[in-house]
Amino acid sequence: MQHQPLDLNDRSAFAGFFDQYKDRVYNTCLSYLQSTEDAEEIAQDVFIQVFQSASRFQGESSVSTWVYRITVNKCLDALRTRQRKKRMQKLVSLFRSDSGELQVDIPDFHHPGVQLENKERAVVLFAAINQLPETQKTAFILSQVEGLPQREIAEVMKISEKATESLLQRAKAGLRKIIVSRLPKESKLYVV
Amino acid sequence: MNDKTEEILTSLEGITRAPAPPFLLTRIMSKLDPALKLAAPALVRWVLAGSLFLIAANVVMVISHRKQASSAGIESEAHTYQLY
Repeated sequence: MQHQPLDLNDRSAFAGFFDQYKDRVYNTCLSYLQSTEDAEEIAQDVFIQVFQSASRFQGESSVSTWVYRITVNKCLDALRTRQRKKRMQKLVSLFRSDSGELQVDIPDFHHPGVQLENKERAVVLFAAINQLPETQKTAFILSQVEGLPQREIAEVMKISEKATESLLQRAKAGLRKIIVSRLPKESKLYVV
Repeated sequence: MNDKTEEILTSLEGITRAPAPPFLLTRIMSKLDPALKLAAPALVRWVLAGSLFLIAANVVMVISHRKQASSAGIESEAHTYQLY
């Protein structure tokens, strides 16, 4: 792969780079965090990290892969932080009688890019994606939301294409189980 | 196969990317501002550093030369009038 130096040290270079990758980064963050506020915050962190690391980028992967990798890592860190806070709050509430309501789980997420006829079904799907293990979640989001080919997903995740395929299959199987468990009882009559 | 489940599972077909918020770049720039303001191409930084070094070296040499010239002048005068 031909190494292209990444010089983002002046405003116009950085702005040009931002313009090229802003939607990819933001959309990925949105799919992980399922909150526009959190997605914007993490997207900012991603571009700051990109700026700080640009001089160290050696061209061992494509720029796109590198940016996705930073985005995925930042999103997973944010999700872990969120989980820790949730666990702490639950722990505190056990010991405090005046703790009031627990923090509400994130509300139903409506992705703005979903086709109109799929909006309600996509809400259920994103709730299910939220429950997947990290690697399956990553593979599914990069494949189904970002539309990346398996080859590129494998590069982002630093795994083989075969491992990516396996993750996607397991993600879909996991999602089916979660979706079935969340469907109203009458719908389960249709389960074969 | 559960039709409803599969419909949910395929509900992201045709999904388009959500556009980034309009002020995202402004917010990032304000966080990076000091770094971006100071940054200049590497060559410019090296030339500037070299120039500053030469100027500083010249200033030191001039000051040093003046001190020597000054003390040499005093010694010469003292010698002329046999003041030592």
